[in-house]
Amino acid sequence: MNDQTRSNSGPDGSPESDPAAIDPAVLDRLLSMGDEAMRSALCAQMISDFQRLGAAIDDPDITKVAHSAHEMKGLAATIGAARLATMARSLDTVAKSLGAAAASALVGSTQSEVARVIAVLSDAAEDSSAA
Amino acid sequence: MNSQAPLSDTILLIEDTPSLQMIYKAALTRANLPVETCGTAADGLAAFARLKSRVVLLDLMLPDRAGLEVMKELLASEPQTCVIVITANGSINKAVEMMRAGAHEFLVKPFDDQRLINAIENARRSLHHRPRSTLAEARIQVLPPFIGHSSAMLAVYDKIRSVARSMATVFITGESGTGKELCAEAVHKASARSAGPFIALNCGAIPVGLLESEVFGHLRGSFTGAISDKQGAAAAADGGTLFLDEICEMDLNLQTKLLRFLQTSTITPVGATKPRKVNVRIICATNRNPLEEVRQGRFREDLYYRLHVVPIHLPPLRERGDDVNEIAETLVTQMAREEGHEFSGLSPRVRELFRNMAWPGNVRQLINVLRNVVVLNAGPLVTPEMLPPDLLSQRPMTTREPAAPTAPARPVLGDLAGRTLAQIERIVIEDTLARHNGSVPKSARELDVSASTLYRKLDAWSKAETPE
Ligand SMILES: Nc1ncnc2c1ncn2[C@@H]1O[C@H](COP(=O)(O)OP(=O)(O)OP(=O)(O)O)[C@@H](O)[C@H]1O
Ligand SMILES: [Mg+2]
Repeated sequence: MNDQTRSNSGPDGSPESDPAAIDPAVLDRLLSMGDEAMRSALCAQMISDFQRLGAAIDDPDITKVAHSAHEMKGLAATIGAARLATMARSLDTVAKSLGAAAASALVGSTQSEVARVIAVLSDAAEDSSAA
Repeated sequence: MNSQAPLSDTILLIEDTPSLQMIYKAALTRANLPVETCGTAADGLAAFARLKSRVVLLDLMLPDRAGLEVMKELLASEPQTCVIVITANGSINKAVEMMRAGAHEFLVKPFDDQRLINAIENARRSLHHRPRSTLAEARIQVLPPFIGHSSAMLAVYDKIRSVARSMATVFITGESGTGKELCAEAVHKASARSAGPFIALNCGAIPVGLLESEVFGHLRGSFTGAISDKQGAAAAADGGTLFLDEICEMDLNLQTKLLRFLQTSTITPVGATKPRKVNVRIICATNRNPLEEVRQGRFREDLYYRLHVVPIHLPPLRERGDDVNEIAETLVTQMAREEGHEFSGLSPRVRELFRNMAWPGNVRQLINVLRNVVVLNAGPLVTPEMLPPDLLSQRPMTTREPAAPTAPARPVLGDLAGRTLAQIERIVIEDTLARHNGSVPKSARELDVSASTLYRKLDAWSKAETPE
């Protein structure tokens, strides 16, 4: 992975807290669809999906990169992570049209955004366990 | 209802992203809809074989197989199934392909739970509307009020019936008078929303500046002349069908707004700040070649693909074999009854003539000719002498030139000598309008300019003539 692009990470490598990474209205609506158990299960699942996808977009196989970026775009858009959805869409398009070299330039910043999204989800998961 | 095993009410959800699976499942469960989920095409097909779900939610991008193949397999084993395709943004073209292959509807991620539930309810409603046993017989039948058994038209009826069960946008093309509006109404009537409104809006007949508020409505005071709130056609069609006729006459700015409407199913009336959800099925029509309009930059390509999901082309009357005589015989007796005259059909000579005529105005032209004949004559058969002389002087259809709506008047250059270009333009436009009974869209088509161009000119002339 390209380290220079990780500019948004905090000093210890953990992402800065950025609540704007996910539209709270969209997330709240999703998280309040079921009961408490459902809420924490969904948080955990989303975190796990984003971890998986964040790693998968760094695959040497460019078709896998495009596929994962596409999947990430759909998930990010659905949970209100608009910025990440846009980045994933660019990555998907670039991977398909311009190939591996061009795509790899976008991977780092996309992964940083994934980290910010995961941070917001972790906060939401804590809220639910506290409630 | 019939001998086959009944389909199950359990919705089958095939989606590979686990979080999305959970989210969709939670939305369905909350709406009391039973659901079973699968993450791969293989699992999905196996579950389908067991469940025979009436409604399947299918993600396009599955890890093991393409969604299109999966859908084809589902539909091959159970043609009654309603497949709702789920896709992320970039794959609109894929979704179009899926609709053509028989998908019921497609949802573009992100969509909210209400949109999902609506889609499923629409699918279920259309299933109630589909008595299976009569489907096969209906396929070979004519679709009233259409008249004509030509194979070209049987294919059209078939298409209308099959598209009616879905929510797919229908794009109707065909020359003037071929029955595009009739076709739009037929789709609506055969659909599960037939009890809802059918709202037709002719985009070519409304001045450009007013079209937006005609489609989306406006609030009182949002512009000069907006003296009260107005409900637009999109809102009026809520729960039913919105027919956008002469869609290619819509200006680019409004095309953008229409695209947004199609993507979000929400409308924002002129002057309003809050969007509002509406549930409409869109049908549009044009007698232009829409792809050519796209090529010329007059029609947005993305909107074209969004609208052009299921194309229906109405063949010109001259390509429908003996349909012309079937239509004529049916209508002439009907009209004669209205007029109190005794017509029972066409003479063999007229049948022969009708079959070989080019009919540039298609069925509408035929209707006008017959009306003329029936009013002015007593019967019992329509003979060549009764036909309007200009009809007989029309070129027969062996000439391959594109037919003009009416025979254009020969230019008499002498009359124009000494006039300015602007004056000549006005003479030509007024003459064209007169020949088309004042129809701006038709005149615009003949002059190959947009209807809005003509409206602007008419507007300018009338302003110039209004005394201060
Ligand atoms: N197959 C048919 N059988 C009987 N009547 C028909 C048939 N096709 C069209 N008509 C009638 O012909 C007339 C013209 O049809 P319609 O208005 O649907 O044409 P159109 O394609 O929308 O024309 P335009 O492009 O000029 O708007 C209508 O009165 C319609 O009822
Ligand atoms: Mg019409």
